[in-house]
Amino acid sequence: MTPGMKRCAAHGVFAAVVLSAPALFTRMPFYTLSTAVLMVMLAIGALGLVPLTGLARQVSLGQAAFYGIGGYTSAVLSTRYGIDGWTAMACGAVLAGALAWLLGLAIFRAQGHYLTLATLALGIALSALAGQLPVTGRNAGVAGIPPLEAFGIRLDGDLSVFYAFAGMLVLCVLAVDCLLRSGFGRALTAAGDSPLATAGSGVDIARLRRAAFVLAAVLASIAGSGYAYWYRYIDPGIMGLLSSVELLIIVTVGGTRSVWGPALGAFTVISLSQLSKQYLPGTGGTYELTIYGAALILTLLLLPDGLVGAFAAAGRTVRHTVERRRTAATARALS
Amino acid sequence: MSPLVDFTVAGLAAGTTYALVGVGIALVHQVTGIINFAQGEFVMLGALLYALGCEGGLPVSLAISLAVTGTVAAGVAMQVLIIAPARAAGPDRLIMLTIGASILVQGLCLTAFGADQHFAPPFSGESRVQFLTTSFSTQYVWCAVLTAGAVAGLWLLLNRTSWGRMLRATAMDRDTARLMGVSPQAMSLLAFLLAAALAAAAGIVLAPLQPPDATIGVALGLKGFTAAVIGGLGSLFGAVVGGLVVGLVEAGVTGYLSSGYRDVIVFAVLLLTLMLRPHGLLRRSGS
Amino acid sequence: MTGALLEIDDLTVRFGGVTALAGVSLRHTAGGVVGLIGANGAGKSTLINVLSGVLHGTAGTIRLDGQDISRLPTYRIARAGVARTYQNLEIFGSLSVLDNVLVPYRRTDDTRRLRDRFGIRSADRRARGEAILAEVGLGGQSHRYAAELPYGLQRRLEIGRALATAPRLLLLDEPLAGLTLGESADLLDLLARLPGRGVTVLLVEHDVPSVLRISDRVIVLHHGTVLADGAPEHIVTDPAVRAAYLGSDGSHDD
Repeated sequence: MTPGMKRCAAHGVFAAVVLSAPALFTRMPFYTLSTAVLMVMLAIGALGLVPLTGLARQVSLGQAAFYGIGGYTSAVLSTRYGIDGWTAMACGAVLAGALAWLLGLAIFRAQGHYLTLATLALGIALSALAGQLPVTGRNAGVAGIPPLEAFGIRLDGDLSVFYAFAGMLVLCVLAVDCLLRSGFGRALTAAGDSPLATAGSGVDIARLRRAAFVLAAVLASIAGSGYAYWYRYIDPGIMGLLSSVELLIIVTVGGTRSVWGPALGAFTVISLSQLSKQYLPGTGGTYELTIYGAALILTLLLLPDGLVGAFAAAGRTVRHTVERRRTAATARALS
Repeated sequence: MSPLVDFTVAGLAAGTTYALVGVGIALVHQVTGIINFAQGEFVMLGALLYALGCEGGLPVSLAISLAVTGTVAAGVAMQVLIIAPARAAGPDRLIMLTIGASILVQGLCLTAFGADQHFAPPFSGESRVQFLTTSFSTQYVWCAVLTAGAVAGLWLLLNRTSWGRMLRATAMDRDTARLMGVSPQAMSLLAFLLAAALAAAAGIVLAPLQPPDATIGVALGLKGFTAAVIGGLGSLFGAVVGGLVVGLVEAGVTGYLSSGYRDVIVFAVLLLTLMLRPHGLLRRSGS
Repeated sequence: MTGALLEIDDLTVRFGGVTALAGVSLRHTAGGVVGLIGANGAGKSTLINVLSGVLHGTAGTIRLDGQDISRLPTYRIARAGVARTYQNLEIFGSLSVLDNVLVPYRRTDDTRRLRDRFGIRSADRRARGEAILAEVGLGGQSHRYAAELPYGLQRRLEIGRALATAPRLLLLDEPLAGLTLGESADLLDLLARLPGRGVTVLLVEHDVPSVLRISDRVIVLHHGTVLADGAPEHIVTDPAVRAAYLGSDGSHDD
């Protein structure tokens, strides 16, 4: 197989696995369709961290802020102004992208790891602001968000929302994969390896990082809008630190340097969190933080390239062993 | 006149806590190059342990020892178990590790102590100090005294002891310091230990003023970052001044606008500082 | 005063109280290999860092073909035609060898950038990359990860990557450091061929005999000032240089 065919096959397998999730999830213990929808939303939200954090090595804690911008823009435009859901989603994406661009204009001018600090502050400030402003419904949030409609079908059940956003996830993964295999992805990887030599090669690193940051913001915003139209309700908690950390953990556990990482990470992390809620004693959710923290630390220390990296390494080992056996067998046969 | 004095006193008192957090962050950053996102959680741990000690009927001195010992142990454990094994990792992974440590500490505290607030009495009971037209709790005086004491102690340690000289040498040039026989890992451990001790001090003076629960660490940490960033992330005295500025801004917003906008304004200050003067408000540009 | 590729005028660089370069002035017309030698701390690396925009001078100007580049950011200087290598290797380890030489920006690529951005690598761009790799002796290695290359080949890859920017001026910071004698000799042959393809080379190197052998002009820096400047044969016999630098080494005299 040529690399191009392998790539097509991989995307085909991915699409098949994702789209068959409803059939599997309704037949397995503690997995439900709404878990599957949540996984898809979070996978889209974390996807932008692959170019930004995985390749360019810029850690962002602001994904939830952009997720929240998408969610709130959709919620407010749809409930207050009756604007069509897909248009509102596009407005949210533009707003998130514009904010990321402006922020990036200043943040990436300076050397150093200020992005993490700035995005953390952005998330907490925006969530506090959403809890104060009348237009965002203060701490009560926005309720009664109408569902999306596509081709005359109201996406008001878990299954229809799942298929719409699973389709979107497959397309987004394909788009990001193409982007990362282009000169843009090459430059981002170079900038992650050596910012000095990348600049010395004539690449404007600030612009490059800004582009990756905007891409991450737009993807997070789309996921946030999707969440708002699915859950039909949104409150400031969506922009909290935990949401941002959750997206960062998802991409780290899955693998920050592979487009398959976010989806695999969303599946693993949400499964873990559901398991802990189901089987650990005590009030729901107190173990969640501990498990998240431990998962993040252990992955970073033991599997720096996440589960995708671990699977790839395992696959290489198996292939090498098979090849070695075959060579040895051939050698025996010849002698 | 009187509200202004009240806000100023309350702001400076809260500011001393942020100053101590900021000094810890700046110290670790200088010595190891790591931005430690777990610093706020250590303050939470110190405050919570102190309050729990007081509620459990321990005398103040024992409650203080409990808080300091527990927090320093957590700081050392973090360096040994999480930071040291990743010595070959790049700054991006180290940042994520400290984020992981931060939510792990918060999660463990939630599991162990629950989400309830805990209460500690002021050091000198309910006594008050008369100042101009108003009076305020003596706890504010304790804040000032302890912060000044902690910063002076740190200054003496850095400038008057051989360990301090090694720390400063590592901060100036890690590679050269290593060539001179200073172990970067030992210095990293020392920096985390000192930062945890500062965090414990901050938590102990804060606990009587603001009853702690397991979730206060994130906001405290971020205010400490704001303090450290205003000071340029490199200067300990800069972080102290930054902490006082943050406390005053916060108190002013709470007093004159609404407490709901407090976090918005404080973090807007951090964002603006990062965007406009990334090397700190107190440093001349170009250095 | 036109016609010079590089004009450095009264360049001064201070770090705190230390003066690394104290009013250096140089002028070089395009062509040839310029050797830059001097003891540790003489200011050689500082000069390369300032020329490539990694540092900015405290005072003075640098002109490339008449254009003032002294305040430009690194990537603008690279686009203006200054490429460099690094004393401590700065290769892109997680990219393939071919991708390493495809990272550099070239103004002539602008028309093709859109196509390249969507994953359809233009064949001629790849062919140009392969040609550069063949030129620096990395033919057949293009699909290995750069991190897997042996050290000597990584040095060559850095030179290839620098050439991929189509530079007018190439700054080489200790290109022979860490190489075996055989590798050094091969690399020197490669360097000697570069002026033939229109690249002017500024070579900083500790190995003085090698510098003297392939340079057309040698500049000796001493405590941040130009101590001597001229053809290699004049430098060897310059009494000031012998006293300050060459003599101290003892072995290069004849």
